[in-house]
Amino acid sequence: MARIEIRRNILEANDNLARRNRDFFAGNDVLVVNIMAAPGAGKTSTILKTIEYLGDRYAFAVIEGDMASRIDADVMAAKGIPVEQINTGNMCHLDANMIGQAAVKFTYDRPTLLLIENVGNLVCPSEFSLGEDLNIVIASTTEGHDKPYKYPSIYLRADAVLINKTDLMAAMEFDRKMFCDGVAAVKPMPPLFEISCRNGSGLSEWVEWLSGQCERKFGRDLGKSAER
Amino acid sequence: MTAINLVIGDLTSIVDDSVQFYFSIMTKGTVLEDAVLLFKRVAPEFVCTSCGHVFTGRSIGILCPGCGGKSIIADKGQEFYIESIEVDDGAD
Ligand SMILES: Nc1nc2c(ncn2[C@@H]2O[C@H](COP(=O)(O)OP(=O)(O)OP(=O)(O)O)[C@@H](O)[C@H]2O)c(=O)[nH]1
Ligand SMILES: [Mg+2]
Ligand SMILES: [Zn+2]
Repeated sequence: MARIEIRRNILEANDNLARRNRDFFAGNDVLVVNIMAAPGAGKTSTILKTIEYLGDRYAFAVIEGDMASRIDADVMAAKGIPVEQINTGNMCHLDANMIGQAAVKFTYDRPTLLLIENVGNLVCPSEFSLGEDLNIVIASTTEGHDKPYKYPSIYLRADAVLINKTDLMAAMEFDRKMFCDGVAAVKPMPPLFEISCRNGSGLSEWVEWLSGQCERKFGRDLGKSAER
Repeated sequence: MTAINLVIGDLTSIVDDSVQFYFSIMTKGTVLEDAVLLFKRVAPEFVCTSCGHVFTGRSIGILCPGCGGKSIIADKGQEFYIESIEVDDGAD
């Protein structure tokens, strides 16, 4: 009788590592935000703005995922932001193993927001859980209002959606209603923030929401450690 | 002959041909070399936000065939797992 052991879920190895990451982050008071978007949508710009607005409230760390180059990491490092660059080579997404290895390189001596810039891609990143608390999808007016219809899976993961480059909304003839209808056809409408990293509009609403998420997590986790 | 039954949702980015391609490379020279991959695709399901009717469809934004209400994605379509394997146990 031939017997072959199988793993049911094919991405189970990644899910297990993601769970391990989650425990590590919870134990170190780290709120992890996985930022997913198309290439050039404004992931790096949004991270920089977010740290500019919230930098005196929390410690920050950034993991940059790109297929190649250190360009984004160098921008962070030049501003004194703790950063790890992951180059994925031919891989189009980050996975839990990569995050686990990068995350231990930071020191966490107070509540920290770890912002992960996933590889610019609207397809594969949505399938690999990293151990994150929040998944954020950034759309930009320059990529058009039809993306939720063409890439529904990534919106399915979104705990919040940002529309960036609103300064270009008119020039791009970006149809806000069509975009929102698309997101709402995927799942119950998540919090939506219309921002511009160029002129700063909408950023304070976004960072206040994010700050609220931090208070929730750090409050809860601090409470947990007090119980022990 | 060994057969592996895979279930893949249409909302995933997994392509049957790619899985087959890499499976063939990885199993070359192993006991699984001649194993056959059988793919079962699962169409996404949508649920009406007005009446709760569940239906399958090809893309998002389809109105409910029952009441015309707006729909959102339900559970199905995100699968990626090994359902079962069929192995020759020499019994027949
Ligand atoms: N007009 C305008 N340009 C923006 C805005 N945000 C970002 N940009 C520009 O868009 C380009 C891409 O921005 P990045 O922040 O590098 O985008 P990214 O998503 O990190 O890009 P990749 O990492 O290469 O995928 C840069 O030239 C930015 O200056 C915005 O709100 N308005
Ligand atoms: Mg970038
Ligand atoms: Zn209905």
